[in-house]
Amino acid sequence: MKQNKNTSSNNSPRKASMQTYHFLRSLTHINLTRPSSPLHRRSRAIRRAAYVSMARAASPRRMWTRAILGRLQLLRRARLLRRRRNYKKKTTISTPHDKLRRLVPGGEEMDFCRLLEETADYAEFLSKQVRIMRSVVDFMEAECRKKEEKV
Amino acid sequence: MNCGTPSPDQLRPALGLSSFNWNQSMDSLSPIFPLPASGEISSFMGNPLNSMHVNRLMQFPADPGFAERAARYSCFSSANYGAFSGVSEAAGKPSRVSSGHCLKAKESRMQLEMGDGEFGSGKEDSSVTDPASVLGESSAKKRKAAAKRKLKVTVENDLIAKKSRSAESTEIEKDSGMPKEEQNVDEKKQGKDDGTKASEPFKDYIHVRARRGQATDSHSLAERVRREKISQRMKLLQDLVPGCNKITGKALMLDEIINYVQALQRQVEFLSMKLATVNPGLEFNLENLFAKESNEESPIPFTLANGIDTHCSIGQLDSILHQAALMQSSLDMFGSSASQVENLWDDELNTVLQSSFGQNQEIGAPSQSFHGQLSIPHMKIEL
Repeated sequence: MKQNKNTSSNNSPRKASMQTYHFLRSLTHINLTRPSSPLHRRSRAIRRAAYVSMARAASPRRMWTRAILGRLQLLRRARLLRRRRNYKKKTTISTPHDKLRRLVPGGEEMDFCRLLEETADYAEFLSKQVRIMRSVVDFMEAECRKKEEKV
Repeated sequence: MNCGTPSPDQLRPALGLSSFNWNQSMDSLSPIFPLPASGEISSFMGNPLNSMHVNRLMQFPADPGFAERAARYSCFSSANYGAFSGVSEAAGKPSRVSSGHCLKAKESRMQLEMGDGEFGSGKEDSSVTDPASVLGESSAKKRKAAAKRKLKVTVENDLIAKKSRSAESTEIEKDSGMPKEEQNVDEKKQGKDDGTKASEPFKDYIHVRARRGQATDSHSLAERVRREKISQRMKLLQDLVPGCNKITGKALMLDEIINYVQALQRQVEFLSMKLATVNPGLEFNLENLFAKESNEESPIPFTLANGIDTHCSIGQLDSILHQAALMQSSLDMFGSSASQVENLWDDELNTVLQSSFGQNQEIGAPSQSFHGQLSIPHMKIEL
């Protein structure tokens, strides 16, 4: 599951820092390639980069990981993995868990048990991502303020 | 007597297959672990051949974090081997099975203890079924296995753990449309403490013994198994979502979880918009940052619910980022406990990030090309 722009060896960073690494990398990529595109498009790209870096850092066995990466780029291998799994239960009955299913990517076709597992994993990575992004924003704002003070 | 690093061919006849597996596992593990540890590995390889295998293993963990990690990884694979001696060696199966184990290991610390006991033997046959994913799972699970899990009943864990292997076929067969059953968990749950007798299956299907005063037909057994699984997962989630210790009951818990995930997603979106405005030009020199082996981890323990892995010494940026505990404003309703830590680490975060920027100056070409694109004066980081 290698992306074209992430071919460098990511073996040494750990899983926690891999998320940071991926995200910062894609962030710089976005800023370098399109610094002048309109705001909403850039924010969409950044949001996509956030989810992708989450998915990259997590295990590819997870359903939500595959869903995100499949959504991103029709990645052949991820889709094969998704198809190969036998879906335990296809339910069309409306359950109280519908909301949760809609929230978690790839949550439509899991049974409740598995959905809870995936939610836990997803929430963990989401919170990590939020932390990363927030610290980056804070840092940048601090830098901005320093620059303005100097000027 | 070997001088220098003996090749695997030389080691293999002397020490048998076990050493070969060990070397193999070392090769697979060493790119993942930090460089000092792999340096130690190669020095150990140079030991004379007549040193005992066990001695080598005992000398091995000079780095205690490494030992811990190694124990966990070996425990996963050794647990696989011990439990699946009878299972056929179909190619797909070991990896599926190991993933099943890894999934359950999130909840069962019993496997971790097993790994500690079997450290010596586990090291030898820790093979390479799927090291990347096993390691990924295990490190993720390691973070989850906080101290709170010590209270879990190990028998229950055993039950759950062994069930992972009953290929989902048994669940499919006995799994009649279940949503209503989940609501009636409460009364059955009280039977839990009256002698949870879950026997240890060693075949492919589950042997579940019925508890006192409970129905014994196969359907209800399977249902109970499922319910226990679900309750375990809900407990997990309860640990994950901050401020949910008092909430009992699945419906309320579910609502909390949904709110939490929604809040997180909203935050991601908001922060991405903010990043888009603040950020027309920045460059992080990531390779240098992550290749550095300096240990600037803070000694202050990180007290959030998601015990972030502070063993990773690689990313200064990463460790500081995680410890700059930034669960603020919109998560206030969940009651964060780490906002005080944040103020302490702001300075450190700044210094670390500045060092990463400062490295940009040393690199001639990229930074210059980057500055060529900049047009916003106050964002120039040539410093």
